[in-house]
Amino acid sequence: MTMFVQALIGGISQGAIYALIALGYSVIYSTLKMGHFAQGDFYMLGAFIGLFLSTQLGLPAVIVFAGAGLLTSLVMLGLERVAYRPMYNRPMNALLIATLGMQYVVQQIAKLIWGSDIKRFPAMFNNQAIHIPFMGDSVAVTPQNLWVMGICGTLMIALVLFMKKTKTGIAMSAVSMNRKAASLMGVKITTIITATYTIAACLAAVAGVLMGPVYSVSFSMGGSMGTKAMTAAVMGGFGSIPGAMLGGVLLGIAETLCSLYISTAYKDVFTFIILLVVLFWKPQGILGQAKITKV
Amino acid sequence: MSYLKIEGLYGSYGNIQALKGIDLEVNKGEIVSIVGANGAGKTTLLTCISGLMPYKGTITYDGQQLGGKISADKIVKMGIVQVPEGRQIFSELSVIENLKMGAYSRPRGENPQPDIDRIFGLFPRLGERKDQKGGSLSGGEQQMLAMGRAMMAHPKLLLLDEPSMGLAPVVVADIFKNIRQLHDQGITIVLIEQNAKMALKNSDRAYVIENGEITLSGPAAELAENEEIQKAYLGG
Repeated sequence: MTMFVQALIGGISQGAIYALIALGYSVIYSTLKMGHFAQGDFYMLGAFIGLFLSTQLGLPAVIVFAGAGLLTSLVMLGLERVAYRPMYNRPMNALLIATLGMQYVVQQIAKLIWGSDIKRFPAMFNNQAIHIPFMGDSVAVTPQNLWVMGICGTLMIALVLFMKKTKTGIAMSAVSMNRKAASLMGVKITTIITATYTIAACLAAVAGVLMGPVYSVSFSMGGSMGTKAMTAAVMGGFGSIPGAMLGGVLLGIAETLCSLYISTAYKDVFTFIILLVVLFWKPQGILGQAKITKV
Repeated sequence: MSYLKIEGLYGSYGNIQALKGIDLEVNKGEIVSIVGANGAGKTTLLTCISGLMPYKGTITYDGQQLGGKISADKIVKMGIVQVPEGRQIFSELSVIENLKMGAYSRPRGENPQPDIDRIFGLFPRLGERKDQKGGSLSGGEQQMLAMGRAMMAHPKLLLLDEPSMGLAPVVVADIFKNIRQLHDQGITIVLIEQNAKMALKNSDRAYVIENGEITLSGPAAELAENEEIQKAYLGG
């Protein structure tokens, strides 16, 4: 039982990271109706920028997170301007291919700047595990886990409040429901595009900085994370914000439980079995809604 | 001087020329209707005025030339608001939220409540359903919501695209009554309709558009008497 709870804590913490990146996929998909395949590589870029700010410039953690988010957004917006924007009025496939190609562009930029070797990211938080008594035994929680859960949770709440309460957030929902009508209400689509990519880039960058010390940092680290996060987003209901959160956390828990009870080697296989089962059961994902269009 | 003046307007979708040199004028305070068959270019014309597609030719509104640097969101701020074909309401947002979206172009910090109350006064049915999702309303109510939403932007020139589409005759009569009410508040209206009979009955002047060209224009009452129009659009 202790082992189970221990795995559960690790799983939630890992899942929170999947959820952050998955939210990026979902926000972009719901407002702009496009799959953004390079999302995982902005996670990588965020990790590198965080590493640079933290070790080269020795900045405090708060500024490392904020700086990584800001700089990653700027890169994303710049690349969006040159690579995606000319494709918006073309057939959808052109944009899809552009986002696929973007993965390699971002990876090569990182490789040119930081080289191709794996870099160690020094721990940002105290590594001393806290032992919490539990049913006569004790469960170890690392400050890293707590920070990951705390920061991810805060960002998710902030995102939900932003979407529900702010003028730009509500306009983003309106654009996702009906782009033409939103334009006719005076919503400037370029503002919405900028807001959407900024949110996606910030979430990915924060995830990167949080996971840097755990996995180390390399230019190719975004690929598998991107795939996992997209799996989480699809599982929860692609385009749904609560769905991405739920999908991420479920995926993280499933992975650690599989590692614990079955085998670490099969954890990725297990992940995709779960995805298949979920999609058989609910093709729109757990919280995804079947689109009903009234004519 | 006319309020809205369109000269030599050409617009196309790829190789398909939808508008072939439209000239049109609307004076302040008028209701002008544009009638024509499906695919004649009526909606394209409104799309150009709203700044949502590129065109050749000039559109002048209140002495200022549109197009170029003036994007769709600025056009709304200038007072040209469109109620699009098929209502296009935000189906997952409530009636109130839809109305608040209509006020998007209003200055930041302005309280939308007085406008919302005014619109509920104009369309009491919307007030009764204020917390329902837009998608759950009937066709006629959705049309009222689309018009109310447009009113939230304080339009000076309202562009109505097929307001009667798919509605029962009783409801169509209601909608036209609402259009007259909006007009009485001093709003200039451009009305696009396939229901030529209702359109001509309720407007000052009218244009007939066929295959992207204006073929006839004049006072609505005169056009309603025109034999060709009676044959083509009014069912004999």
